[in-house]
Formats: sequence, C-alpha cells, structure tokens
Amino acid sequence: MTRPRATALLCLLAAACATTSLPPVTSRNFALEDDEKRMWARAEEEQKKIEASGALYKDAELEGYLNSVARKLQPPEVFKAIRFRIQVAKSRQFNASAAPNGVIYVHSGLLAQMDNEAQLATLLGHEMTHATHRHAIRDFRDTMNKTAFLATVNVTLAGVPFVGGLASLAAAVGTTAAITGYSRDQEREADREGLRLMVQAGYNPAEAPKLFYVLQKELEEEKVKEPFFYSSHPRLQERIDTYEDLLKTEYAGRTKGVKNGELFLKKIHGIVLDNAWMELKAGRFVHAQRGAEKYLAIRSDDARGRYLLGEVFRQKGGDGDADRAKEQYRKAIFLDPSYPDPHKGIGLLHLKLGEKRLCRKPLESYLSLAPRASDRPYVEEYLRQCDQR
Amino acid sequence: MKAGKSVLWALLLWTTGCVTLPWVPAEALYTSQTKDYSVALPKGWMRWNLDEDDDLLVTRDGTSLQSILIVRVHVDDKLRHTKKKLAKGMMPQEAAEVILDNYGSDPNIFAFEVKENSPASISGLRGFRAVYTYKTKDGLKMKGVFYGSMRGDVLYGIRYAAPQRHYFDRDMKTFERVLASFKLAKAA
Repeated sequence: MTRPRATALLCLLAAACATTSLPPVTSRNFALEDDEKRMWARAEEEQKKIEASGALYKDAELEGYLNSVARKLQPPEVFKAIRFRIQVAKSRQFNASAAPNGVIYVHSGLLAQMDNEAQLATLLGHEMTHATHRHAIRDFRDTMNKTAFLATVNVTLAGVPFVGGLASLAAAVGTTAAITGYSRDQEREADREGLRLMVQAGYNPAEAPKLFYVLQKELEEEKVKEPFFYSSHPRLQERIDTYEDLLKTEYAGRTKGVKNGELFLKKIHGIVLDNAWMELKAGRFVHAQRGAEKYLAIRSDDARGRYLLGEVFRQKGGDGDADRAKEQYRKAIFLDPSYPDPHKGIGLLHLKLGEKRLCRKPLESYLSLAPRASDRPYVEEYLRQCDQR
Repeated sequence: MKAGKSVLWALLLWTTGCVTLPWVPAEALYTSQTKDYSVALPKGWMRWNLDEDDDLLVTRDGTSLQSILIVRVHVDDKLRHTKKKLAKGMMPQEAAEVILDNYGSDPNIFAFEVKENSPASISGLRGFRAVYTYKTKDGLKMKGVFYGSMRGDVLYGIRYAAPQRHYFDRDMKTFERVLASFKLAKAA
C-alpha cells in the first residue's frame, strides 16, 4: 500500500466512528449533539417550505384534536424536549412521517382510513418514537459510517479492476436507501414502543394492527409488490407479525380499552370527504366509493356526501351506475334543494342517456341556483342540445 | 493514438445519433412528424420533441419560467396521475375534467385550483379552455392555461404555463399567437 493511500484509509476510518448508540430524549442530561442540531435546523427550513407550498390543511380544530391525542401519549417533560406538532398533509397517499424535531405529517389518505382514536394513537405513538429515540440522527450516522467504510474499501481496492467501481455503487445505494425510510430495527422499535404508549394511555391494543390490514388489502388490490429498496411501506408482513406477536405475548388477553370511534369520526369527517374527492379525481373509483360511503355513515343526511357518491357512479359509468347516480342525486336534492350541483348531475345524465325531454328542467334549476357558475357556458350549450330532437 | 480513438468514438456516437442535444431553435412553421398538425413557433424560442408521440415543448428562458406544450393523447393512453381515461365522443367538459384531474392529482404540485373551464375551439373544433393555478414544492405559484379538443380518438392539447407573477402575463400574447396558428391537417 502506498503512503497516500494508507493516510487516506486512516482518515476515513477515523471519520467512521460517530456513534449510533444515543439514549432517548427521556434520558437524564439529554442534549442535542452538533450534527443533530444541524439536522433539526434543516428540518425546520424544509417545514417552512412545506407550510408555504399549500400542502397542509389549515384546520385549527382538527389540529387541536390530533395534538390532544399526541399529548395523551407522552408526559409533559417529553414535550419540553421535543415540541411535537401534528399536521395533516393533503395527500391521498397512505403515509405518515416524523421529522427529528417532532413535526409529524399524517397524510389525509391515511387518516381517512382510520376508524377510531386508538388507531390514531398507534400511529402517533409509532411516529413519536422515531423522534424520541432519535432515529433520524442514528440512521444518518449509520449511513455516514457505512459510506465512509465503503469509501475506504474503494481506496484500498481502487487498483483492482472492477471491484472499486462496485464498492462505489454500493455506497450510493446505501445512502439512497437510508433516505427512503428507517431501518428494520428502528421500525420494530417504533412499533413496540408506540404500542406501549397507546396501551399506557388506555387505548385498546387490539386496534393497533388494523391499519396494517387495510394497507395490506390496498397493496393486494393495487397489485403492488413490495420492492426490496425504495418501498414506502417496507416489510409490511414483518410489521404485522410484530404487532400480532406483541398482542399474543406482552398484551395477551388485553382486549379492552378506549377506542373513541364516534368522536374521532366526527373530527375527521371533512378529511374523509376531501380524500374521497381526491380518489375520484385520481380515477380510483372503488376507493372513492368507499370514502363516500364512509362519509355517509358518519353524516347520512349530508347532501354533499350524496352528491359525491352520485358523481362516483356517474363517472365510473358501469352497468347500472347511471341509475345509482340518479338515486344519489335525488337524495341530495331532497336533503338540500338549494344545493346546485346534483341538479346539474341529473341533467347531464339525462342528456348522455339521450333522455332529452328530461334534461332541461334540472339544468335550468342548476343555473338558477348558481347563476354565476363557472361552467355556465357549457350548461347553456347542453340546454341547446336538450332542445335538439 | 488514444486521443485518436476517442475522437473516432465521439464521431461515431454523433453520427449514429447516440449523442444529440434535445433543444433546437424553434422553426417559424413547425409541422409535426406525423403530419397531422402545423404550428407557428415564436422567434427566438427553443423546441424539444419529447417522445415518439411527437409531443412538443417550447420555451424561451427555460421551462421553469415559461413553456408551451403541444400534446396528443390517444384514448388508449394511460395518463400519469389519474386512472381516468379519455373516450371517443366525450363532451368538451368531460374531456376537460379528465385533463384537469390528471394535473390536480400530481403529487408534486399543491393547492391546485381550477379558475376557469369554458367552451373554446381549436383549429375550428369544439373544445375547452381551462385556466388553473398551483404551487410548486418550493411554494412558487404557477398558472397554466390548457386548450383541448377531441378529434376521433385523440385529444389535441396546447398548454401554456409560467409563474403566475410577472411571467404568465408577459408571454400570454405569444402563446395566443401560437394557439391561433395551430392547424390540424384534414382527417384522413
């Protein structure tokens, strides 16, 4: 080995000693380390951008509720170390993420799938554990150490054809994989600790794995195979196994506890409706229908939910869907005769079905209820078509 | 000797088309490779043929500052962000809904809002004009206008997009001239 190579190897090995063994924030004498402070500062910068992008719901009541559930899971001293803040991202993705500084984004797509507060507490307990157990900085250091190690190998083997290049490739992949999610051990730790937190707060542990069952069904329906790298839901079956094992062992026989289903659904009903609209726009008719039906289970007398379900059937356009759509539009009009959109929906259906005698009246009702409707020129054109026999 | 080999390789790649620059100066009158439309492109702008479908992107200062996109979407084509599909015989408003839902379902944009959706014509065909705004990941507010029309089983679309502040209005007249010059060839 030449002298410069030996020096480089020593430097790299020295750089590869950042510890990944850090105590949780609840430990005595907790203080942020320098690289961790930089990571928090970076996270705050990114959060400002996210705030400005319009990607988050601005609903003080909803946020207040979500944060009140978070406060049930951790004692006040933890909130002194990390100022947890739960926010809802406008995204139909089945996802949630925790920044090292305690900002947790729950995607509306995930929230809309939940049935009760116990399931929410499971998710929040899991995400909060990533922050309290300092997974981000541990993961970052682990990646840096591995990258440094692989760089060392690269220097050492650089003279050997092909092998040096292979090590570079592995280093790059390792870095990317770390960015896309936490390690298997960290996910397991977050699952275990999150479950402990929700049980300690009095929630029913039997609710904990239910979100994963929904996710599993989703992956099966969408025919998504879990890739080895880059999966946003890594090793799903392993995580279900972790929960089921814990329920059979540590929490065996504990089938009681708080669920708070009614309160939870009351708080998130707007998210359920919004998310069903997002699913409809994305052309995921089955998901949109489920969302609309879930919303109607919460608020059966809401014309907006009926109209949405009517739109799902109209746009899906399968056998018998036109009749189903008409039925929902009629129910919406019955519930709120001044709501313009179902009148238009029913008129459009008549026009599409060639029922021209029937299309004029509902389209006229639409325009009289919404005289400044942005699509007025279209509707006026439809009215002319209604008169063409 | 080594240098000579490199030059030979570079020449070979160039002549076989492996090394090409996608952006070329926009012609005054561009005819699509499939000869089904022609359009007058603005002087001093650059164009890029995006794929084998001959979709066309033109810009003067870079696509983040302004871009005009001309696309053809076949009813069998899968859209990128929605599973909805265009269909032969769709009414203009229905086609507009599919196109707007595709844009609105893009996970990389935020606060998507439709400002206007009204009937319009392109090259004499019934179609739609939709105006929308959205924000990028960095919070930059963008504005777009999309003209679309179905002919048979193909939607022809012309879209202009630019940052809402300053840039959108600045090049709108140029876009309107491009739109007015767009001519579909007679259907075979």
